[in-house]
Amino acid sequence: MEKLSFKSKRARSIFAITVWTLILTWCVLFLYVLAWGLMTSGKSDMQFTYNKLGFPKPITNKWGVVRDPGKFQFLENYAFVFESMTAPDSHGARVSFFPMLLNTLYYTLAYGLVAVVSPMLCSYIYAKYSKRVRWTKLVWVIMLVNMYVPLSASLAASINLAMQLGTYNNIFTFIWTYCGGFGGCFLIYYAIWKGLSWDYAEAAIIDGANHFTILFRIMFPMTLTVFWVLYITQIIALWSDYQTPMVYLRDYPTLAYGVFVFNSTVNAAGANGLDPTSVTIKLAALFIVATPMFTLFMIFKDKMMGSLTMGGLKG
Amino acid sequence: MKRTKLKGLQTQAKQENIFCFCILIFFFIQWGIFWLYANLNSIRLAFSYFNTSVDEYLLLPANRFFENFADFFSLLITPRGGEFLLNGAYFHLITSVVCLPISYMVAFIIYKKLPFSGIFKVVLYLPAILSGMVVILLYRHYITALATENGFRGIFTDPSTSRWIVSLYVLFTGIPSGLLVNLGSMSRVPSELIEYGELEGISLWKEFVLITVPMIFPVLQVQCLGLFTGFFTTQGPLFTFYNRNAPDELQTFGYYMFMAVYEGVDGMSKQDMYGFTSAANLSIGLMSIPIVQGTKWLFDKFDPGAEF
Repeated sequence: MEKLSFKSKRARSIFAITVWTLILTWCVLFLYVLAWGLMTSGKSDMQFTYNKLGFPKPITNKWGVVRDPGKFQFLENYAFVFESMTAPDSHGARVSFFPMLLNTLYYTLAYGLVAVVSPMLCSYIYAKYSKRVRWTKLVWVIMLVNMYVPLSASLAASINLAMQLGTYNNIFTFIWTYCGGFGGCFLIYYAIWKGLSWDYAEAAIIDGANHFTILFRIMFPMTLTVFWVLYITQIIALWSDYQTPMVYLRDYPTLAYGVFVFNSTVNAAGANGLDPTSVTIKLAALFIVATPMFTLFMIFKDKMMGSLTMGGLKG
Repeated sequence: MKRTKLKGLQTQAKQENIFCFCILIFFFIQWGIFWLYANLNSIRLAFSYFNTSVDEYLLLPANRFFENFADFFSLLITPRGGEFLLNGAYFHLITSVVCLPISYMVAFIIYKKLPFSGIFKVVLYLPAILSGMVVILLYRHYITALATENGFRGIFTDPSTSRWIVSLYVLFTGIPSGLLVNLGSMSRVPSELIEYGELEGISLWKEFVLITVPMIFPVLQVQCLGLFTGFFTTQGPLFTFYNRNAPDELQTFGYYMFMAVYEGVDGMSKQDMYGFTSAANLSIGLMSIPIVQGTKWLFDKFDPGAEF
C-alpha cells in the first residue's frame, strides 16, 4: 500500500487528522513517561525528594553548602538493585538477584520452547498425516473442544491439580503444564504446514529417509523464521509474567516477581546510603527487568511486526 | 510385483502410524490430565469442602451439596457483590466499548501509512513488550510524583481520585491494544476494492466505516463475544497497582476471586475458598453460554456478510 501524506486531500480529513493527532499525543506522552522513568532511575534520593519531575540540579542549604551536586548516579542505583533486590520464597527466606536471574532464564527459555514446539508437532501431524492416518483427526476434535467448550478449570482447581501431581512449586516438573499441543500457536503453525508442499517429503522417502528425519531435517528448517518469531514472542511474554511464579512456583521467584515485590516494599531497611524503598531505586529495578526484552524487540522488531498477521505468519 | 508394492505400502502405512503415535501420545496424555481431568477436578471441587482434620477436599453432604453455589449467588445479591459486578462492568466497558473502537481507528490510520506510521507502530507496541507490570508501576510512580509536586497526596488511595486515576490507565493502555491483530486483518482487505473506492473519491472515514469495518467484521465479532461475560471475570489492573490492598470501592469480582485463591479472603483460608471459587467459575461458565450465544446472535444480525 502506498504511503498517504498530508498533501493528499484524503489525509486532510477531520477524521484522519483527529486520530493521527491522538496517536501522536499518545506516543509523546508514553515516551515522556518512559524518559522520565529512565531519568529518575539515575537520580539520587535527595534529588527526587526536592525535584520530582525535572533534571537533577545542585541542591544547597541556606548557607550555600552543596548538599547534592545534581549529577546522575545510574551506576550506583543500578548496582544497588543488583545487590539488594530480593524476593521471598515460600519459607520466607530471601532469594537474591542472580538466583532469580537463573530462574527467569530457565522459565523463559525452557517454558517458551515447549510452548512453541508442542503445538508445532501436533499441527504438523494433523496437517500432513490426517488424510492417510485417519485416527490423527482426533487432534482436530480436541482442538475444537478446547476452543468451543466453555469450561476452564478454575485457578483453585489448577493449583489443586499441580499439588496432586507434585508439580506445584517445582520449576522442573511444572513445565509439563506448558506442553499443551492444542492451544496457543496451533492454528498459526497449522497454516504454515498446510502451505508447505509434501513433495519434499516424498522425495526424501524415496531416498530412504524416515519420518523423524523428514520432520526435523527437511520440513522444520523451512519454518525456522516462524519458529523464531513465535519463540521470541513467548520469551517476551514469559519474561515479564510475575503471576505464574508467584502462584505456582513460590520457591523459584523470577526477576519479574522480584521487581513486583521490590516495588511493593514500603518498609525495608536502607543500606549503602541508598534506600530500597525509594522511587529512584524501584524505577531502576523496573528498567533492569524491562531492558533485555526491549533490546530483543528492537533487534527483531521488523521480523516480528512484519511477520505477524491475523491468519498466520509469513514464512 | 503387485504383492511387493502392496507390502511396501503396508510398511509405509505402519511406519506412519508408529510415527504419529510416538509424537501424539504424549500430547494426548497431557491434554487428558491438564484439560479433561483439570475440568473434572474443578467441577468436583465446586461440590467439596476442605476438611482440616484429614487435610483433604471431601464431597459436601447431600443436605449441603450446593452450598458453594449458594454462597456464590448469596454474595452476588449483596450490596458488596453488586459493587464487584458494577466495578467489573465499569472496567470492562472502558476496554470494550470505549477503547475498542478507538483502537480500530488507530490501527486504520497506521494501516493507511499516514506520516510517521512506522514509528507510531513501534511505540504503540512498546507497552506489550515492556509488559503490563512495568507500565503500570511506571505509571503509578509518575502519577504519584506529579500529584505530590502539585500538592495532592494519596491519589491512588483517596476514594475521590482513585477510580479516575485507574480508569485513565485502563483507557490509555487500551488504545493500542490488539494493534497487530487489527493491522493483520486490515491488510487482508482486497486492494482492488480500496482502489475502486479511491477512484470514486471516497473519504478515509467512509473507507473505514463502509469498507474496512464490514470486511473485518468476523474479527470484531470474536473480540466482542466476551462483551458481557467480562463483567464477572475482569480483574482490571488492580493487583499490580495495589497488590493485596485494592480499595474496596474499586474491587472487581475477578480480583476478589484471585485474592480468595491466592491468600484467602474474609477471614477464610485459601484452601477454604477453593470450593467457592470453583463453584463461582462453573456458574460463570454456564451463565456465559446463553450470554455469548445471545451476543453472537446480535452480531450475526448486524453482520454485513462481506466475504473476500
